[in-house]
Amino acid sequence: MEQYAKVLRRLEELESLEISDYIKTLLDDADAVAARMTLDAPSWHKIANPGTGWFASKTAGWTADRFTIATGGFLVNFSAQVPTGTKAIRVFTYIINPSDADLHRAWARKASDPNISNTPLASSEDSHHLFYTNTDTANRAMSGQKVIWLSDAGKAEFAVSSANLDIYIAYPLEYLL
Amino acid sequence: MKFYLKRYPDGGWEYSPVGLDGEPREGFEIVDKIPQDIRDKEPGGKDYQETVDPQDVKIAMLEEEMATMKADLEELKARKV
Repeated sequence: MEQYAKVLRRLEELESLEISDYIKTLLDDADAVAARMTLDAPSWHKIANPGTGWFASKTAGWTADRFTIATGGFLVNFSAQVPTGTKAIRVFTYIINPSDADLHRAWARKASDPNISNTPLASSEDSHHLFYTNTDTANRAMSGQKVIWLSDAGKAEFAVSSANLDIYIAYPLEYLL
Repeated sequence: MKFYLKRYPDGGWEYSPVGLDGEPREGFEIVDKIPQDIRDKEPGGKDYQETVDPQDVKIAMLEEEMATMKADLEELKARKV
């Protein structure tokens, strides 16, 4: 009887050990996955000391409803402000229509994004609005912090609904890496 | 920091920083800093005007209309010849 009890205890120990090892393996795997996720997952980082004043602006030379610089859009290169590999930035933008009574609309996209049409207004690229207001009052401004996705080269493009719009872009405040 | 800068005949401008690639941009000059006259006209600058005289807007619209009519007239004249 004593011998039986001893074997039983041993079996329990083994079983316990196996389960423990199994759990340990699972935990190790979970840790490894978590580590990989932590390494790969993008996260926001504050830019310690953003530049002062405006970073970029365009008050003329627009062609309405065009993203590319060659056709009258606005191309801005952020690569010197953020680390290589940055996916997006958070930045303050200010848009005003000082000279007429057109509607106020603006769009942004990462430069040369093949999934977004070059003509955002005609193509109803509503998801890519930077701003939209239905006011027809001249001098009405639109402003706020926006998330703007960047191309691999750190560039973004902007388009407007009216050639009379002025756009001002401040220095980026945060970047997603 | 260097900037691409382009001025337009209507007094407007366009500028943005030169990035790490430093690629040339046709039609733009490269400057070390944004000229003060532009900085003064920007929001926050001493010459920035947040409002526009409605009469100026009307004048601009009429001038644009007149330019269009002149162009149409020239086109008609050319066709007649």
